[in-house]
Amino acid sequence: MRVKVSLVAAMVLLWSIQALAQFEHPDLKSGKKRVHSILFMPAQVRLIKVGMKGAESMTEESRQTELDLSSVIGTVLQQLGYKVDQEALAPAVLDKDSDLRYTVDDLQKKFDDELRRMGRKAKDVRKGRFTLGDEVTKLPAGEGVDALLFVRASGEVLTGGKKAFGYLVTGQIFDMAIMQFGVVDAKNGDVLYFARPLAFRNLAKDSEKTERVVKKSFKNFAKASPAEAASAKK
Amino acid sequence: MRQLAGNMSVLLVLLLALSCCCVGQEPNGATAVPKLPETNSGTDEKLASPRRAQEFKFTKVDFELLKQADAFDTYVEEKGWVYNDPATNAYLDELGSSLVPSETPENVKWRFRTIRDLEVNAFALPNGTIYVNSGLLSRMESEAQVAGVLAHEVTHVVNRHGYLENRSARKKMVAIDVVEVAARAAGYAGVNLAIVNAVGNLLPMIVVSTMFGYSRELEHEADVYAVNALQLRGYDLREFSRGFELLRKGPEVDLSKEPVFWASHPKLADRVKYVASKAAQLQPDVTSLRIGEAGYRVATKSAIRNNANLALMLGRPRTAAATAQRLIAEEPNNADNLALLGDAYRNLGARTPIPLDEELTDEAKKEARKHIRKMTMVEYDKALLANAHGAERWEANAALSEETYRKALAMDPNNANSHRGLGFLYERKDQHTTATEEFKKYLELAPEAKDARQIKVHIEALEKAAPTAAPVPEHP
Repeated sequence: MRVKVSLVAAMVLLWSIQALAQFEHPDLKSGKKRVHSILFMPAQVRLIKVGMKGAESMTEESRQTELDLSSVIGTVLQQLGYKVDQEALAPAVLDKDSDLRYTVDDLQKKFDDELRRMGRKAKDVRKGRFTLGDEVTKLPAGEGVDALLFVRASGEVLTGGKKAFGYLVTGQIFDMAIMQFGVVDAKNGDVLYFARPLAFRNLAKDSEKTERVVKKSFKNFAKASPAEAASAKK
Repeated sequence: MRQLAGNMSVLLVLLLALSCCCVGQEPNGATAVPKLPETNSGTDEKLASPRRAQEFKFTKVDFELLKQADAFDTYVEEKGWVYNDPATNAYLDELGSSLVPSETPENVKWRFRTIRDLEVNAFALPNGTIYVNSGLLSRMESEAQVAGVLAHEVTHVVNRHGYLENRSARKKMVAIDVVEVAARAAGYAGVNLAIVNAVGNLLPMIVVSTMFGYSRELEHEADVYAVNALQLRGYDLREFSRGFELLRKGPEVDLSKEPVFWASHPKLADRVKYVASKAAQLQPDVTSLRIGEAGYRVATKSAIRNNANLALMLGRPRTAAATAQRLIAEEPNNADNLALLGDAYRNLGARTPIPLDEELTDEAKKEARKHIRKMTMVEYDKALLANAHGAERWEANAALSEETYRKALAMDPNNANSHRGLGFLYERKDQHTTATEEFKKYLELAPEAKDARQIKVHIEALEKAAPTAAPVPEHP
């Protein structure tokens, strides 16, 4: 039992270290490229409830978390001095414009396609290897902004029974959520920043704790933020 | 334990896959399929509900799944995954409605929708929504073929297969791992599994069955119903069988390890046999049977075009080329169709339009999978170009592309898409001045185009670059 718990703890630790890593495009790091304004692409969150009888979807909670998480990220980025646009692609806007909805979905698909490779070798973001291509310019709302933000999160919420079972047998005793944030150049599609924080809790609850995780995951991005630049000038 | 659960789930997936293989054999009295009058003329005769639908009693677990299915419908709509073309929707609704039983089962509302996904697949949710991927619509050639697919999926709803599988899966604690394994098994290069993953996350308990097939008995039940329904509506059963064949012969090299159900080769082979034997038995006279090629093509062309553009964007130019050729066959005088084909040829890069035999060996597939998993689209294209014959193939594709755009312009000198395509082609060939001219013509003809800003960026870059400078990276 002790060996099992230690093993799980070691895995969690390793995972956490990896999860804390943040990856910046060389141009962003060197200051050659500056980001001042960010357009939020609709977040995609998938939460499932895992119990002793298997898994159940949490579609409603996922939907709400998409909005909450975007709002938390928005607050964090605004605090860093970024101008954020969360309204241009809000659900109400997309409901009225199916062409825009398809364009957004196309870019989301493109990001997911690139995400598969970024997930494998995230450190190559630092070599400027990943791009969505200049198709990102097809997004009309992207015209006046420097970057697009893609948000992905998926999480497992364990029932009480499953947690108890975890204590005794499997070692999985926490709710868990993996998030992935990608900041993409709105002009040429280059992935400028990528982070994949991990949260050991139910993402649908307690947005204050989520804010802390989000803040940490934008730590390196903050170095290139307008607020940082302004304080450096002073 | 986790490892054990993982192993068990692999086993479960394998068992599910194996269990779906031999659908050509009649299971002994296990099916619950209605006896339908045997007729080969399209009639208004009602389809009866299978026995199982009448016997089914809803439990709390079933209601929960129903709620999840409804939420899934809203979710995919909001995300822009559903292709809402009025013509395609109306067509699928009408076709699907003709194939459902006269009595609508409790808690079922029939809806037939196209989902924007390149996978050749269709799936049904227990609430009566049947999704047909645009990838499948693009591969099918007639109404009779799609009718077979829809009738098959209708059975899964009517006979409550989703609920039954859900109940059964709940008995197995490893369900969540099954989702992971199933997604991993198919999640390979070139395979866009957005929908599989989404269903896996949103409706985890039934993902394996909806996407990768139900048990042998249930799938057979669905085929038997489909055959009867097609027979009753006067469709040519040979078309259903031919549809299976079309599903097997895709324009891309199939790199998935566990194909989704409708593209699953070994299972399809058995199903082809079954339907062919039924066709021979039930429809000796083929003269008055319905096929519905022309109507199908007209009604679905918008969805098919959308699928071709999706294929171009996601690095499947062979699919785009095959789809464009189909559109041209339907409307040979449409310059936009030719421009689409030109785009597809241009995006082929160093690929041949049809896979070569050497690409179809297990070794080559393994290698391709590895490359696509590791390389970005741009890197993969470059690697192909560096291969033996790579440059030669690109030259051939570029020539074909140019010729096709020119044909389109001969047909319609104001075809904006052809000018756009030529712009990209010349840009890639380092012919900066001509490229700029073509892009400018495009903007003149389509100043409000969605990609106007993208094209302006290219013009700007081309005008800045010296004629001998390296080409601007192209992102079609």
